[in-house]
Amino acid sequence: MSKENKETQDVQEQIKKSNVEKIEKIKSALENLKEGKSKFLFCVPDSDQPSALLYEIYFHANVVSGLGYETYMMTETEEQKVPEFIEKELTEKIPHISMQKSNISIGPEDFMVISELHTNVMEQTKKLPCKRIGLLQSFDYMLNSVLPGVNWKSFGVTDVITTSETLKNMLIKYYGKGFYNIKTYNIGIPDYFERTDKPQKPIISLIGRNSNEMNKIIKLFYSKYPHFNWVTFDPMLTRKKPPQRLRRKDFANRLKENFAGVWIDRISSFGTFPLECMKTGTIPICLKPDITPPYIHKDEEILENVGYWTINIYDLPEMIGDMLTKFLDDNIPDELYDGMYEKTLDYTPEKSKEMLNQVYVELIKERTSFMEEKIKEFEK
Amino acid sequence: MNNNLAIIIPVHVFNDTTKEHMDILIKSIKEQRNNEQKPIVLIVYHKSIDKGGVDELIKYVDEEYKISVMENDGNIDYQSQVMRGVNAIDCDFFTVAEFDDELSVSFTHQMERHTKHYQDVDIFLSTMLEVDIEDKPVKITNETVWSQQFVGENGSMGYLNENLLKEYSDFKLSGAIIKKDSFLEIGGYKSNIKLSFMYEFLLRALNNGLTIYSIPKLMYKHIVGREGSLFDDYQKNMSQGERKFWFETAMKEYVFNKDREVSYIEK
Repeated sequence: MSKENKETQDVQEQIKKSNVEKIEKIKSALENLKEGKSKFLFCVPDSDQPSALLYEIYFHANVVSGLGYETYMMTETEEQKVPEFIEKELTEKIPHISMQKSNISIGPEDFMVISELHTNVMEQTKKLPCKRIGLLQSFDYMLNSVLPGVNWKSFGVTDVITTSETLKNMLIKYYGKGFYNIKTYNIGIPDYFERTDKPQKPIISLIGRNSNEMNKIIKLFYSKYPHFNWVTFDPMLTRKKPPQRLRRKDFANRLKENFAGVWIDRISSFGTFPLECMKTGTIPICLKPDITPPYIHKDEEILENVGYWTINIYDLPEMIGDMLTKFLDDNIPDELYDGMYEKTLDYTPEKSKEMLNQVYVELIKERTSFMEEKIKEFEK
Repeated sequence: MNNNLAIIIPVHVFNDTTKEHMDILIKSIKEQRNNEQKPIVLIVYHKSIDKGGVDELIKYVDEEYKISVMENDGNIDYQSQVMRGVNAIDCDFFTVAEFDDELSVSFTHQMERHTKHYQDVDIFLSTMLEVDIEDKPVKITNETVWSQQFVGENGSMGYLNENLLKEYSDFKLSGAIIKKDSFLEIGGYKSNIKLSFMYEFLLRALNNGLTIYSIPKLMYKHIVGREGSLFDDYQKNMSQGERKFWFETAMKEYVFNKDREVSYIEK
């Protein structure tokens, strides 16, 4: 045998050996996957600021844990605190592990869920063998955290879970059909957002992203209606000094006492606050964000009895005045409250859990098929 | 108790104007949205009203709507008329409606909701729409307790507190829903205090630990400055000095539950 032939044979042997090793690894991973031994890692941004995004990450982790999988919350640092605004039932059960000091072994059978706030994590983890999934709730945050021309696929993230068909369609519109494997589900508004029989107060919850815009609305309202200068706008903070953000349960309890909630958030991709309002029987008076929330429209039509919405921020003071007059006159139609409640039935925690179960079961199936295909390829 | 609410309507004079307004008030009582649990309605008229007037008042008697009339043979002042009515009723709560005022259609509905959920409250003020004689809105009253600024850091929104009441006295008790037992326990209205008697009563109520809450609904429409009304008469004929005197008297007398002898002597 010539020297050249010997080298070729050696290379072929090595490739064969390597393929065998790969097949063995994939087979072992597949076995783990089929036996439900996958691990699910959820990356938690380091923030104690209440946000639907953070809440949803914990909700997902609990759903997956409920399916029987080993689940971990991956924190940015060891010192990172568990967010206090989320109820303990959701945060206590899942172990928290720092990404910095994690010694968990990760294989192809494992999954990592990374939100749009963690694009850096997407980049840092691109060599990990596990399946990484992007959790998208805010189109704006997603775009803010990548350079022009870069997207999640640049970091190897091809699967996306998102909270509405609207967001799914936007991904398809801008990145093309099939670019991402997208799954949608409805978020669930916890049941402690409940309507009370107790009479509500002439107080207006005010939630927004831009404090200048919120102050502007208050000032314009008092200018237009000086006889309503006794009406209070509630920023939904604790009454301690300095005021802190409320825990979500306390937020719900406060919200249901107030008769209306004003919401100004132009860049929201979904809008949990108006839904929370609807569930507690607090009338949402809102500036429609650039992305129309899925629960207020059907096709192109804006639905009735889902609160009051405008595209012009300068309409808000008069809308608040009209609604306040109706409240004082005890003249708010029952159809409005009934309509709002009915709409929230699409967003119950049970429904959300059911949809998320399906999403994760499907992702596991897809991963299983992918591995089986890979094994077939290598065996050929 | 047989009834949950009594509406007391004190009448000290009867003429065409009285009838015109009274018709509107009675209609507003009959047209309550919540008409299953009808309140009892007691028209208390002063003995000085002539027979013709009394006959007209008797025409309002209505068994279906539980409307009856009774004579007050005591003093003619507003407080005595009310006290006569309160002592005659068998109810948990009562409200005083001035004959020229009007209840909103949801008055009794709101009364039921609030008395059910705020059982610790002794006096529910009605947020009142004050209108002029041509029915044009003038102002909203009893609303100040909903202003965080007025209630203060330590106060509770919706509840009247002593600090607020001492700084701001413009609260009205017409249309207020009052627990009868609590009212009588602290001595009721004082007929010796000619003006500012409502203010004195509120100060006294808080001093006795009663809880006062303002229902944030426009439940009661009140005409201000009607020619010939008792308060219009006070406004026109009472000197500035006397008015000041009654206000200061209220500030002093509220610590006494008894209606002590007080009189004003013009200097």
